[in-house]
Amino acid sequence: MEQDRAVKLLQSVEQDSQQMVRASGNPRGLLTTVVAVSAVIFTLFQAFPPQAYWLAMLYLPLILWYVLAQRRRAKPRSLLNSPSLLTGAYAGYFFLCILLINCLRFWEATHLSEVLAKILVTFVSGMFLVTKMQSAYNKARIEDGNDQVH
Amino acid sequence: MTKSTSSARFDELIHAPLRLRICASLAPVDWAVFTHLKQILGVTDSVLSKHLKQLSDAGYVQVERFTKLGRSHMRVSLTTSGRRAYVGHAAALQEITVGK
Repeated sequence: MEQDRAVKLLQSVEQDSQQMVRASGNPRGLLTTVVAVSAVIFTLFQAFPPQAYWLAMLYLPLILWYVLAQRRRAKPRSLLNSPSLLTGAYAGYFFLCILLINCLRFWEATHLSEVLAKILVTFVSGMFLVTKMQSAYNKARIEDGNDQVH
Repeated sequence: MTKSTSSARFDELIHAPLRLRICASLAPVDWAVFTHLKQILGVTDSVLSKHLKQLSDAGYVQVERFTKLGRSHMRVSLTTSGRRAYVGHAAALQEITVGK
């Protein structure tokens, strides 16, 4: 068989695998909303402790959205034992997320402008890390699906 | 993506473009619902059924029927031998591209 044809077939294989990985994952809008809501809740919990606790209720519609989004979706393969996931970029960005949360706890925002700035910083940095984690996870899923026979 | 391995084996059945696409789509998942797979591949019911039947007859794909909220659905998944054949075929294609 010609090399060019083999290259085209491999490209098609990669595209189809990527498409299935995207289609079986969580919607982009849900991910963005979860990060945005978490940024607001995280900041307000620290700024106005007892009054802001009811904001946790904002997660309820997100849980409903997640459940509805999972309907009729393909079931992803478990990657718990995947070495590329646990030792690769995914794990690195996960630890950066934990580090970010702990660093942001030192920023005690009290005025409205500070609170808004903290929400913005938390959202932007959180979104960056979560997007990177999602890309690493998708890449690991494609590699796992195309290289692992088990 | 796919690493060239000693298990590289060209498979004539999987080599057909649509059947290769079906296997590539099923590879990263445990299973997919027939309608979802059909949407992703952009083919008709009859075309997908025909190719799934060929893969199923070879033991590469498992098709299960299940009922949810009173409606019947079909769940499609790669079997262990199907996954092995697909990974081997993808590795064989990879070897061709490097001119081995």
